[in-house]
Amino acid sequence: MRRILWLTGLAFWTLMLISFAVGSVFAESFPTKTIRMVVPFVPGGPTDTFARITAQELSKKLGQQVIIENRGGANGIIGTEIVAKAPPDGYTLLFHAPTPIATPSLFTKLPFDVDKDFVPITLPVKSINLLAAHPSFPINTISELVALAKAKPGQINCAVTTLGGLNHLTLELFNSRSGIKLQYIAYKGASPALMDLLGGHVPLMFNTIGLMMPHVKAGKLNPLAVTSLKRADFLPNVPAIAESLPGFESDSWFGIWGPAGMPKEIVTFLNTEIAKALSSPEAQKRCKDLYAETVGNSPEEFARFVKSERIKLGKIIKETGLHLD
Amino acid sequence: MFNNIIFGLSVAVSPLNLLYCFLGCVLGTLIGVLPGIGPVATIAMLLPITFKQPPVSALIMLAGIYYGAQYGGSTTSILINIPGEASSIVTCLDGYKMAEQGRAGPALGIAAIGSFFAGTVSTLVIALFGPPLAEIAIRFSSAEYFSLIVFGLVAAIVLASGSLLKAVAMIFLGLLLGTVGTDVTSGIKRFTFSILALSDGIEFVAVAMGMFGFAEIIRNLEVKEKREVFTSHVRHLMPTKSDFKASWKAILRGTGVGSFLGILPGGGAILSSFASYTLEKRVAKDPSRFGKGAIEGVAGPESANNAGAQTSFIPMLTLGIPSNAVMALMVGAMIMQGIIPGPQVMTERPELFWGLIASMWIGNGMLLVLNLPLIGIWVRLLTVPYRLLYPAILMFCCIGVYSINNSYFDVILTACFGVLGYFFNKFGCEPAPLLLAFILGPMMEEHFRRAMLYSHGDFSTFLTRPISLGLLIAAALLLFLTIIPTLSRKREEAFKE
Repeated sequence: MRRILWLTGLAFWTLMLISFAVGSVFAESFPTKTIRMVVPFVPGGPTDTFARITAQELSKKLGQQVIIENRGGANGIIGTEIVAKAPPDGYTLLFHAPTPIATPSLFTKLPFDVDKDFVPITLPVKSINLLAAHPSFPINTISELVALAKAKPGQINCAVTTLGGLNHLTLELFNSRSGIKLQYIAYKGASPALMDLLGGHVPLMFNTIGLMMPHVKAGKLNPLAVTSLKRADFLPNVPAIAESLPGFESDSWFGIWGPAGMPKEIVTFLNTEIAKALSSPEAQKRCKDLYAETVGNSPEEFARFVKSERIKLGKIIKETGLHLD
Repeated sequence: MFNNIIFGLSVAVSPLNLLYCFLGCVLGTLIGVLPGIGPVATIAMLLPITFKQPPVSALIMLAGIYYGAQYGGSTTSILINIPGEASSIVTCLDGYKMAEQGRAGPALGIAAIGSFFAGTVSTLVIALFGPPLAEIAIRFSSAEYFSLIVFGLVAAIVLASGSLLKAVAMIFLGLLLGTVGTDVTSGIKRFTFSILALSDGIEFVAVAMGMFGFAEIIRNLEVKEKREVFTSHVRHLMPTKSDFKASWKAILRGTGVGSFLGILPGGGAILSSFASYTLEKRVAKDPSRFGKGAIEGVAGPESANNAGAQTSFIPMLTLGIPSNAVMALMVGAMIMQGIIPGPQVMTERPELFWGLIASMWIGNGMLLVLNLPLIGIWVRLLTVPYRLLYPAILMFCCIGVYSINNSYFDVILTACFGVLGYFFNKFGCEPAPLLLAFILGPMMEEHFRRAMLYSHGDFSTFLTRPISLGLLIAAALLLFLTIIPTLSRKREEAFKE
């Protein structure tokens, strides 16, 4: 009897040992197959481009292909939902802009829980936003703009590339902090918005420096101010909005998330590898060309950042009553 | 100026670039023929491969896929009434009728020849007038777009060869279907019934393929004898002299229309084929031939859509702003190659700009050489017994529709529209006006509201802006001219009785 118990105990512990060993071996050998990175937009936009830059470098580091899967639609909800419902084995990741995970209050109901269904991995890329004006618009500084806007409330238009997107919320943040009301005009994406801005049909737009820089350089757009706390290195003559509105900060950022339940070792592993991939000279050059900077912070830092963004953007969403449902 | 073109040619005829051009054209033709799978999906899939290639070669290949798809799209439109591309819908109208009369060969031939001519001319247009045309495109704001679309909708009435009342009814139904989705300005969802897949609207390819392709398959299965005509009456494989005589002006006009409309972002290329068809019908001596196999109805639109496809490169190459989804992908490809699109590309990377333009012309030539001999093969494909052919067609269509959004909902939608299209056909209602209104309706609304937002609620903005005013006057005239003959005919008929 005792012998049976002893053998059972031995068998049990042997199995435990083996499973631990196998488990850690498994974790070490991750990834063994292709990883899919879901981008919830149609191919060709900024999110897609940065995702591809990241995926390309990550593939090199991991020795496994990281392929981009574009699943556009419904403000990014379709693609995000796919990752929320995917198995948390580290082979499905999400590369996305802030909406909806950092701006859940824009929606009355989402087919997932933005906290419980995702695990943050890292913030890969950040890009400073620029407020640009068409040369025909007779404003050169932020204070002039605010003064004009106060004199003509609701009369000055500002292009917004996606309703409820980060550049829209940046505009509303600016409206709220300066006590003015610039009227947003929504477009389906950056291209039509930029066309109208270049044609002078709409005077202003908040968007990433990367999108507007070629036209600023060509003299077709007037850079009024940047949305980072300090001035941007490549636009030293352009003031930061924070110089007139202390503490104003609203940069573009992207995030990489995985489905909740991913093993911690895989999250840490991916985080390290992505950071390494982003610091490669290739990735650095590409991002620099687009006037973006790589970040690659830890999952905890990223999670804290998302929370703070959610609070900041949530306030504005509540103030303006914006809703995407 | 010509130095640049010679320079471009020297870049384009390098063996590597020629090879990539050829690859792109072949791929483009193939996916153009396959219904549903379009250049967007293909280019998206091939993007990662292009990163390792030299930038000019990569872009040459991708461009080849895009305008090659225009060539291929006309094949399925003519042979089996399935628009391979959105811009080939109009080709179905007369092209398929020509095939039914045993004239599939000439239809395919004139489509290829017209496309080549248009491609050549529009390449020159890009080379000579690229930047100024981009400036004109920028002048078009929402008020102008709105008026252009109003003009287009009035012209859509002309698309139908049957009853005017039914055409107008189809237009309104198309407008109604177009409202499904999310409103751009307010974010409000309409008619989506909480189905997430509908929040961006009904997929256009689903409607087009359903109402044209599936409906036609159902019809063919119903009437067995019809299929014989395709194969038993095939006379020439090439357009005859009289075909050329009838089509050359249509080709010229189509090229002009397409070259201009292509530079307007957002649907320029699609509009061009519709606009060309309308124009041809208007200027024809005997408009009643349209819808029954008039070769101008194939020559004009096919030239227009190819010209439109080429000139839609202009905003991307001269300003760095993509005018449609394919261009957005090309921008992505350029960025991955370290080339930042914008007005500086022309001056900082002239080999890219001029090399691409020159290779477009070479590509068009390759496509002509590719497509003409293929006509014989395509025509012979029609001799395959229908009971074997139609399941294959259905399968490709379903795969194609699914591949657009990875959504089986779209496939179900296509089937539903197929049934709908069958019934509409029974009632003598034509799908073309519905489709045009379906595309144009949402655009019209978006631009109307945006124009009103710009003018702060002032309606006169549409009349005070010169381009907009001109277009609205043209639309009113066109409406007048369309209705008058019908009214006087009705009066004559009333008299006769």
